[in-house]
Amino acid sequence: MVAFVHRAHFIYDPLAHNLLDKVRANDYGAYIEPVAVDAWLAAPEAVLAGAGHVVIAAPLERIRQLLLQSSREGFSVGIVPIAGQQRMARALGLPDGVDAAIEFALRQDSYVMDLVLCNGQVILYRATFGWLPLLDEPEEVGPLRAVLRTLRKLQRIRLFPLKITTAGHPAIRTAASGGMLVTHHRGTLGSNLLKGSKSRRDGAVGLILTAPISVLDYLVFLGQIGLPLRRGRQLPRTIGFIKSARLRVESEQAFDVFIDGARATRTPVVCETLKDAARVNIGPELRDAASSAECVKDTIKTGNLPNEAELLKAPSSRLPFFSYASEDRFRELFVSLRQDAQTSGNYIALMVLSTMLATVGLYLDSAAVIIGAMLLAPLMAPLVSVSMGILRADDKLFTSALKTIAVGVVIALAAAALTTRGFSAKPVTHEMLGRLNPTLLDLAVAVFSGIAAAYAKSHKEIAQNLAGVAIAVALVPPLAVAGIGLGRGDMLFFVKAFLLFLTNMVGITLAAMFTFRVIGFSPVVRNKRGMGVMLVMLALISVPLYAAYTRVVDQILFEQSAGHVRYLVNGKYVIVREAKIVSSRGGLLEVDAVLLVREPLTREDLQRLKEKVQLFSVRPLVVRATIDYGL
Amino acid sequence: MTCKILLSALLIAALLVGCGREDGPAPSGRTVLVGVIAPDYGEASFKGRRGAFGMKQPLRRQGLLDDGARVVLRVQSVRDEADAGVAALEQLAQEPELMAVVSFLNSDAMLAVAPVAERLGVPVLLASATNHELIQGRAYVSQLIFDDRLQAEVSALYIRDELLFDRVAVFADPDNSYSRFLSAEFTRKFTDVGGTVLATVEQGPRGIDYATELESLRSQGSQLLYITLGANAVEAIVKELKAMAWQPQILVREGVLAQLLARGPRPRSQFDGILGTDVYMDDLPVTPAGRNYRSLEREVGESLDTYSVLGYESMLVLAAAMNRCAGQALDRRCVAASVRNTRDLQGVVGPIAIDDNGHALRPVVVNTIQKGRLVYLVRVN
Repeated sequence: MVAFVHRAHFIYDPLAHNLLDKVRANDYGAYIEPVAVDAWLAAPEAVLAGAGHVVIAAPLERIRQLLLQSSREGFSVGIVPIAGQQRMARALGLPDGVDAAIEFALRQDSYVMDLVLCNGQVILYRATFGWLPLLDEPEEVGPLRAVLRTLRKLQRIRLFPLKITTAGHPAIRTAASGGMLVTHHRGTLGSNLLKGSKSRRDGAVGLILTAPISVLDYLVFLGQIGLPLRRGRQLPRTIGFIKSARLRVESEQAFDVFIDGARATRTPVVCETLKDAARVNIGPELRDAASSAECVKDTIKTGNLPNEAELLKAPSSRLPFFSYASEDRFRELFVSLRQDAQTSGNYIALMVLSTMLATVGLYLDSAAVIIGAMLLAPLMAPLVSVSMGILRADDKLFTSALKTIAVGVVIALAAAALTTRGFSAKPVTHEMLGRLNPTLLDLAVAVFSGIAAAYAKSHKEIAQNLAGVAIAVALVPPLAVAGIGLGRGDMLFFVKAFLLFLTNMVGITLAAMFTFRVIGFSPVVRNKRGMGVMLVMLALISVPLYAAYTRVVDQILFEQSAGHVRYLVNGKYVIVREAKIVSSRGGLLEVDAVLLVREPLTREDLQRLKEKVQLFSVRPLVVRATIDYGL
Repeated sequence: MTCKILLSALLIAALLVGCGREDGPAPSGRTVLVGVIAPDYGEASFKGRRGAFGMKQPLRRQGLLDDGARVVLRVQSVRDEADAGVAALEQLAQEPELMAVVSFLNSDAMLAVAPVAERLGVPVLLASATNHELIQGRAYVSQLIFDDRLQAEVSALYIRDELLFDRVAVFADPDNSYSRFLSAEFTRKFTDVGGTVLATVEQGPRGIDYATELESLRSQGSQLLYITLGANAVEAIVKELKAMAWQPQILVREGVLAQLLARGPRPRSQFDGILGTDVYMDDLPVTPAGRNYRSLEREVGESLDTYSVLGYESMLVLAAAMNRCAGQALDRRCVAASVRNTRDLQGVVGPIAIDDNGHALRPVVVNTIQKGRLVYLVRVN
């Protein structure tokens, strides 16, 4: 059974004048003493002397003022939100709609809760300072405008040093782009990020600090707020959280502090909690969560924030778009990359074995044997090291890895060439032919493999998947084919296969560099020259690859359309059942075709057919036809 | 530094653009006329309008012959009838600069126009008349579209060798020379290659009793109906077949599939499965000339169809013929002879040749209707 107050003062702002009649004519038996805001402000104590319950419909600033007065004088407060106060209504669990809000405000059901004061001003739901693009947008700003303003602010976002003092801990020195002081977590942005107490009477104030190391990092953080997919105990990697009965936040440069969306004060800011200070009609969800909370114990979660040593390396200017990283953070990965860049006995042994295995597999035309060779091949690891070397301008890592690759290439070519010399017969198999015409599609395979390789390398829990990457991109078989070309003394054979190897190498290196950069392994200063050289190499390689790609496309189109072609030759109907380009050397197409015909074709018919086939071909061609009289 | 790089890039771009542009011939001040006889009444208006449109397209990019003479089209819009065709040709022939005429009239009308063209010495290129008699014994009349003999031969061989049918029935109109000849030629060829024509159903003055005739054909075991009649007759047959719940294969003459699909708000899918011969289909692989034409059509927001393709190709044939004459005497006699010297000219879907007898050698396309739209099956070269 809901009980209502018998008597209440109603403080109304001129903006909420239209509510006056509704509140006075309430159906709950409450006698209303109307008070205009101005009258109340002129003599607050006198106007509300002896008041038991006060309902207010006014701007946030006045509501905060009333709550502060209630903490001194003990009356309970009901709030009727006016236009533009949706965030406050959500934070206090107030119902939607004017009638429901009036009914709720007049209930004899107030709840004792803490008040948080920052520099003497009450926080209703949050206060912000520093750079918090999108989160610090005032409520009245529309979504589109907020996004545009956010994009502008993102360009200026940076970290700044902070000193935070709590009630029970020594001063914490860190850096952040901004901070958000919250009174509780339910119904606020912080509730998407933080698990734990949602109490409004835990005697503490919370501080969420954002410390992204890149703009991308910050965007991910925004995504985590908007899409609360992770609600574990761990904080998102860009934020820290401090909770205490008293917080003092200092920064070298003074920042504006926005309380409930409005500019209210500047840093340094001191926030403290007035325990059980006010009685307010707030939503039942908040009360349930608050019922057992009593402790005032500091919570310090600053592991994700930069420490003092890292602060020195952090850029004082705006954040880069992609993350930067120090070696300290990823020591394990860099140790592994340095090891991969070394030429070891194992590396040489594996290169020799994998190449010989690949060469034999190629001669056997056995895909299974070749895949075995791919798995043995150790070339992928130094390639990934080369990527990191270029990305971070680490000459030592780059030179060492490049040397290792060069040694591997020479070994592979020599091993394949010598193995070929050992065979008396040197057939050209389908597996070899398949590696003689690299196209842009092969480059695409290399790029995706490079991304996968870098990603797998940076996450040791999935590093075993590098085997799959090695199979996808297959570095050693093209080298083996190139070596076979050397062994046969056929330089065209060598060049074509080596082009495929180069395609793979450049594709992997560039893609891995890009991936490392996105993941966050890039240095503060980019190695523009190294990247430039790689891009030029990519452009150079793309020219023959593009030509080969268009050739393949033409070939597919030719073969597809050939199936729909018929010839009428001296009254005989010739059906082209299948046609395949077997070579296109020097502009001359060699085509293998299967023709279906009912009557026998004479020499004259064949001559006419030849003329017609040539007439309908854009390029000169030679056709080897199998004629099937099977109709 | 940045300015220098930008300037260099602009210079290179300008050079590349300059390199890609071919200089055309300088205008000589002379004008030559190409006449177009384009039907513009009733069902035939489509071919006249689209044909003339196709002819204009090559002139948009290159309106000059190699000797600098400007080519201008003179379009005569007429009924698709003999008298109107003759009058239009006689009027065009009076123009001294006229070098050739392209006709989109039907075969029956052209049977009256062709002797006049021969008498007046006006080269005429037939873009849609397929009767082989039109060019027989004439020096000035040539065909661009395949003739009825080739169409009949391809139809007969397609039925026998692709569909593997050997019992068919033929629908013909004995009062229409085109239908009469096409059905006779088909019957001859199909019989020659071992097939059987079970019956030839002829359209009399009072039409055809489709129910009776089709019932009879069904009882004889006809596997296919070869229809040389127009779209109205094909639609009536399809309707009757549906009522009979009989689904024999149907093969129609050139142009009918497009007409069926262009007819009013009725379900197009009722014509699904019907086969037809034609000169063009949208999803056919095209030659470089075809790609060029497609880009021209896209520029004006149009898409290719049989008659615009024939119009485009007729202009290519005439321009090439007039250019060959430009070195000698550019006159009607030379153009007529030169048209018959067309060899390996790249048409939209393949090469076109016109032999010494004025007979066009070009691919015949077999199309069908699937889910209410045209789809090409094979191209017979």
